[in-house]
Amino acid sequence: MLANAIYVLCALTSILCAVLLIRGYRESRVRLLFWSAWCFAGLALNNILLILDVRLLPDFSLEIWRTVPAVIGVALLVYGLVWESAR
Amino acid sequence: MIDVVSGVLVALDLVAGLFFLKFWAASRDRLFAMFATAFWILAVQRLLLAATRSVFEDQALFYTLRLLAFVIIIVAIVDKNRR
Amino acid sequence: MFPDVAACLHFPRSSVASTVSEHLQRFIRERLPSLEQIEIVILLRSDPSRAWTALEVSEKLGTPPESTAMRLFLLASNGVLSFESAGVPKYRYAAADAATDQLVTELARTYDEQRDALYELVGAPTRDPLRSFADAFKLKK
Repeated sequence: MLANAIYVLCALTSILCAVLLIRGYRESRVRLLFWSAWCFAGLALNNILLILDVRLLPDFSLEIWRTVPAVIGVALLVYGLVWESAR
Repeated sequence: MIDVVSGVLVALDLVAGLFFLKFWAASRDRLFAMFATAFWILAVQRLLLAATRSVFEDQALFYTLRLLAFVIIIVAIVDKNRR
Repeated sequence: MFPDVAACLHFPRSSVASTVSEHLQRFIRERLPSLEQIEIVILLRSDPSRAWTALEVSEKLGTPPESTAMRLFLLASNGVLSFESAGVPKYRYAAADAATDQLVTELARTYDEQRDALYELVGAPTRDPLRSFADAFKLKK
């Protein structure tokens, strides 16, 4: 249960980061913020699915499904870091 | 398959951390140093998870590392707002 | 490609030049032809009782101090700001006449409500992505 509480905290932090970055993108139109926001959305989803996974039936694992949003999120972040971080 | 996906995620986390490290070198804004550290901790956590072939991250080591990474992000945000 | 798709999700872009009034457009063209100058004036106008140094303004806006000092001087000689040279030069919002003050008020409102239209006229700001990323985490702007 401590683990669940921790993953809730991680999910909430990720959501906060995503919200702040999208707000920043709306104001400044700096594309790096757009891609970064999606990273944190993916991490949030990863943490949320992790919490759900433990509660589901043991013979159905979400393992790949919960990792995929994280991969996509961080991939989008790296895309943004590579192409949108120069002035 | 999950090992491949995990490996990709480890590498991406490492690269993201590397970029944040570069940003810290360029701007001296310690938010970037903290984000770099956080992403590298996430990379290590993912690597250990895959290496030990664990499925559920309910072992203390894994969730402690993840907690550490996100606490560092929270600290970075708090620090940014205090200055 | 994707960010432009996202942009469509907010305000639909109307034909922008028509939303800013003709006399305001002329005012901007003649007296405040750059976004940096506009932002300086709006900043100083937000607190007309305060006298600012170039360094203070450049720190607040995140612009280089030398170009900020140059712009402040330009705006003072243009009748938008007043200049105090006791020691370190300080600037204060002081429109030369009521008409100018009214135009600046309208400019400030346009900046708040139709910023995209303004960017079409004077050019979008070249923001440092790193600074924008870090600033995004400031809860209060």
